[in-house]
Amino acid sequence: MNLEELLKKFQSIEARKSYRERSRRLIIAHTKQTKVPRLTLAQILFRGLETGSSIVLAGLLILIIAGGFSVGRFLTPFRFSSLNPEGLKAEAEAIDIQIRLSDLTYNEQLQAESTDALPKATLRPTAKKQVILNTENATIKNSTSSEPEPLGVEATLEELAR
Amino acid sequence: MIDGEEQIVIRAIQGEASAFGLLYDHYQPKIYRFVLVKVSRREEAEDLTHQVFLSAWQNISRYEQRGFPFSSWLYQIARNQVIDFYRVKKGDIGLDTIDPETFESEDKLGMQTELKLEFARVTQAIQKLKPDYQDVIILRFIEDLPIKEVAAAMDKSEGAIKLLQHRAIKHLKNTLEA
Repeated sequence: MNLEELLKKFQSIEARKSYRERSRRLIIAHTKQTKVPRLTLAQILFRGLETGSSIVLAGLLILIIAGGFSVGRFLTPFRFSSLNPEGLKAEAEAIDIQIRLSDLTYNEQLQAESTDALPKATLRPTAKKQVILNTENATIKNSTSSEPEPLGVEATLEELAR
Repeated sequence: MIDGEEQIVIRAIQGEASAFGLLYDHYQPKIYRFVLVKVSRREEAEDLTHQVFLSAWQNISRYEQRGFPFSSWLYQIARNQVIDFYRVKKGDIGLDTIDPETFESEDKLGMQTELKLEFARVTQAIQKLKPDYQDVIILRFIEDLPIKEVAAAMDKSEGAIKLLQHRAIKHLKNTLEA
C-alpha cells in the first residue's frame, strides 16, 4: 500500500464515544475565564474621579446626618428646645407668678372699691354726708400738716353723733 | 472549517458554551488523532486532547481571527501540550511499546488486525522523526490540510512547509524501509 494512502486511512481513528461525551460535558461545565479589559489612561482617570466623587458624596451624607440635629435647632421653625422639661417648668413657674401678681392687683382694687361702697350703702343720708365731710376734712388736714392730730374717744363719738 | 465558523467563534468568545460545543464536536477528532500519533497511548492522548480544549475554552477571549480556521489555533495549543508532555515524561515512553489496540475505537470495531499493525508500525516510524516533520506529516498527509493552514498552525511560511513536507515524507519512507 502506498504510504500516502495509508496515512489517509489514519483519519478513521477516533476517540471512544464515552470519553468524547464525558470530556465535552466537563469542558462546557467549566467556567470560562472572563477577559480582563485593558484600561486606557483616560478610563483610569475617569474611574478615579468616579470613585473620588462617590467617596466625597458619601462623606457629605454622613456629615449631614450627623450634624442634622444641631443644625436643625437653628433652622427649624419648631424649636425643639421648648420641649426641654426644665425650660417648660421655668416657663410654667413664670406664668404662675404673673397670674398671682395679676390676682393681687385685682383683689386690691376690689377691696378698695368695696371699702368705699359699703359705708355709702349702709349709712343714712345725714351720716353719709358726715362721712363725706369727715373724709374731706381728713384730706385737708393731711394736706396742711404732715402729722395728724390724734382724736380722743369722746371727740370721735361726738363726730359720729352729728 | 465549519459553515459560519466566524460567527460560532464570536459567540464562543462571548461565553456561549453551546457555540464552543459545536467547535468541540467538529475539531475534537482531528486534535485527538494529532495527539495520538505523537504520544501513541490512548489514555494519554485522551488526557492531552481534553487539556487542549479546556485550555482553548479558558483562553478563547485571547483568540484573534486572522482568516485561518479555528483549528490552526487548536493545533498550536496541541503542539505546546505535547511538548510539555514530553518535557515532563522524557524517557518514560518506549517507542516499541505501542499497542495496536490503541487505534481501535468503539466506532471501528471491525478494523482489520493487519491494518492496526500497520498503523502501529507507521506511528512508530513517525515518532522517530523530528517534531516539525511529525507535525507536517500529520497535518498535510493525515488531516489533508492545505499548505496555508498548515503554515498557520505551525507558524511558518508556506515555502517552509513545502520544503518540510518533502523532507518529512522522505525521512519517513527511509525509516519504514530501514
